[in-house]
Amino acid sequence: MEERTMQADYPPAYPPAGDATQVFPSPGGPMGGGYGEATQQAITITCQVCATPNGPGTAYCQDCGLMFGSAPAEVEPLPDVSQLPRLVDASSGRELVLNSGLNSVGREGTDVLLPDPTVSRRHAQVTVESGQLIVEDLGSTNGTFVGGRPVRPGERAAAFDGDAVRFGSIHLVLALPGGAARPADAGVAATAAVAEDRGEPVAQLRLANGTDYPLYAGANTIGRRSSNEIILADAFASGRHAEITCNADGTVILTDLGSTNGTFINGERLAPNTPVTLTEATQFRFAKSDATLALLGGLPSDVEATMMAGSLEEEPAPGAAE
Amino acid sequence: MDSTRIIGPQSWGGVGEATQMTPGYPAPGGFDPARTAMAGSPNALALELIPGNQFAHATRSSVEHAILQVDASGAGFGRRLPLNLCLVIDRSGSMEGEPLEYVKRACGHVVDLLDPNDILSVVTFEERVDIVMPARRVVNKALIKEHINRIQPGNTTNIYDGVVAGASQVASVRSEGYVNRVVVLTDGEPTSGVKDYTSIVGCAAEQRSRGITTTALGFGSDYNEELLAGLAKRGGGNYYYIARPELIPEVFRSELEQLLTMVAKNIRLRMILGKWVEVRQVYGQQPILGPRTVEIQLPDLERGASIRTLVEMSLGRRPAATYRVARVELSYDDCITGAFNQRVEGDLVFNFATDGSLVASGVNGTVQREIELAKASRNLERTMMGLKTQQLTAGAAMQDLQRTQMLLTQSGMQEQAAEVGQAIQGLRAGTGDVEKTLIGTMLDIDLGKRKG
Repeated sequence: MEERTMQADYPPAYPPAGDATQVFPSPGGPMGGGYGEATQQAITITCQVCATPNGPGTAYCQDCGLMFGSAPAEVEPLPDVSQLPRLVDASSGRELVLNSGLNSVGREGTDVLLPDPTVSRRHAQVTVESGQLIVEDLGSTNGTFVGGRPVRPGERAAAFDGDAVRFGSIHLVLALPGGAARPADAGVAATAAVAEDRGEPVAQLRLANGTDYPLYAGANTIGRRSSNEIILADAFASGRHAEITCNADGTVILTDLGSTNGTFINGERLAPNTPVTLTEATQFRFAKSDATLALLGGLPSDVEATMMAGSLEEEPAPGAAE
Repeated sequence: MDSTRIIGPQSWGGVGEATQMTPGYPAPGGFDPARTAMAGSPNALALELIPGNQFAHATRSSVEHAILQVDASGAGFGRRLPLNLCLVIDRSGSMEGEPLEYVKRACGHVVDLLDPNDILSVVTFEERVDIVMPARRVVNKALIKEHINRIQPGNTTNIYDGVVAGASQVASVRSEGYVNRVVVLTDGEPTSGVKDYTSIVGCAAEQRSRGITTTALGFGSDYNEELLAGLAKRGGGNYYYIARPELIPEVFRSELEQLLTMVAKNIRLRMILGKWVEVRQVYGQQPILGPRTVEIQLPDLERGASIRTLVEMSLGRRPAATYRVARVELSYDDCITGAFNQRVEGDLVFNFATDGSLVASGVNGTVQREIELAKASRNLERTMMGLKTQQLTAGAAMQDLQRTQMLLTQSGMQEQAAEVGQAIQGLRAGTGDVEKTLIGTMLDIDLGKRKG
């Protein structure tokens, strides 16, 4: 690309870190900034705000976004987010910083904004006071949970560092730097660990390819997406395909969640969102994945259903897999 | 106007004229940081980033908005990607007579407008589903019309199976080289087969992730507008309310016209956020939020159309300077050249100032209006609820609607303003179709789409 006029004014606006200076033979930089690429003598730039080293030919710091040359030489110290109380969404890594005092939680126009259909508009409020954290539910439809325990409307539930906090179906973990962890006698049976530790598997699902998956008490989701407990490597399977619920009384329930290519029992397609009890002789299939169910413990060992492959003629057009 | 415009490679000369310096906020090279020009080949889509305020608070965290605007250029005539279209027609008993005759005529028009390169399939549903015509190239038009003319009315309405069958017809052809669309027309509530909203709408959403979009046409006064609007929204297509049978051919024509002038499909916006930046919400959308990324899926765009996505961000305090709060990547498949995964990038830039009065002075009117519009959509929702639960009198609803109509007119959404006008007329006349019209208006506002 031809030379552009602005390059002359650009580098002297900030002091390049001496030892990091490099001469690059060719123009062009890795960042999308675009215009910086006209610089012929490329320099590694250390951001004066966040100290991140940046490659040559960038106009903005790749981390904090500072436009080089726009900050005064003397930079005031940074706010340190890592010391602020915050709610962390482990699935996305999103951090929701809590201000001291009252923080509203909800789906619309709140301080802690959770745009999710299971969260009410005004769902809850979180109060941060001298290193203490109080969670209150504001009469939400799908409830607020601290450490696995429901917070009743009007109740002021104390939350501690590392507690699992749930609004509707949004699972968050509280980080309260310098705050106390939940005391052992806090009177809450279920803690953050509950989400991960589901106890011993009560049954087993074996796919035709030989992989075994443990089934735990309660709901076990099955589908193509990685958010499922059992992930089907089957291009014909839907993202959220089906759910197997193991009840305390030993019954096992299979529900198709509106999958595109269907869940089949004895070759017959299940109606979506209609639970069906699995018995020992049940033969079932998710899209093109045949599976076997084995119940573990509690029940006689002969309670085992072998699933068979359905005939291929029933399959929908294979183009759907694209 | 302070906005980031991405233009062709020759447009560098234009930067100077756009420069508008703010005292105390030097920009390197003497160009305005809020007006960035980018090089690239002539693009089917242009990206414009409009910060809601030239300034943001440096001393405390603040909530700021921005518009991410995608424009489909009027240029780029020439060969288009062929269509892969499935017409899914309700032939339940209630369609008997005039409606079904108009539908057949409309389908005939569609056949006339297609090329031999296009693929068409026709599916009908009542209690069961019939493949009137499997996915085929539109070669023998007379024969296709003959098939269509043989459609007879049946009994109940099994929408779910119809949608599934339509999608599998479209899916039987590899999707990449085509503009893929299922058009569903119904006049009633689902009465047989799978009837629940989640399953039917979920099916359309699933198809969309495979590149097949769904348009929903509601005919008459008995269909479920929430179901059809949901189908269109999650399916990435359009929603139409057809009040009278003689309007059916016109709606088919307008849908086809849009499909035939499609410029880009599979359109996605990705924001890569700077430090101390959080996206609180994307209005009318369900974005995919990552730790430092936000992904938004947009509907396919026809020539001359544009779409505005309103984003609400929380910007953390930081040393006073100019910052890029987000890098925005637009990716799409070009329907004219057939090139996949085209990319355009832009920078969303704010000046962080210690002086609060600067922040108060830097508000952008365009973005402000868009925020008002988002509120208008919520107001419409409330008006509709009020009407349904009869907590709102027709007079009060009319006043609400008139306010919304004015706002829409001011924001250049003439078509939607006209729809609200229709709803006001409907209220006056006491016809029950107000919700059917308004739900479509809400959908359009939420999407932020404007016709060319």
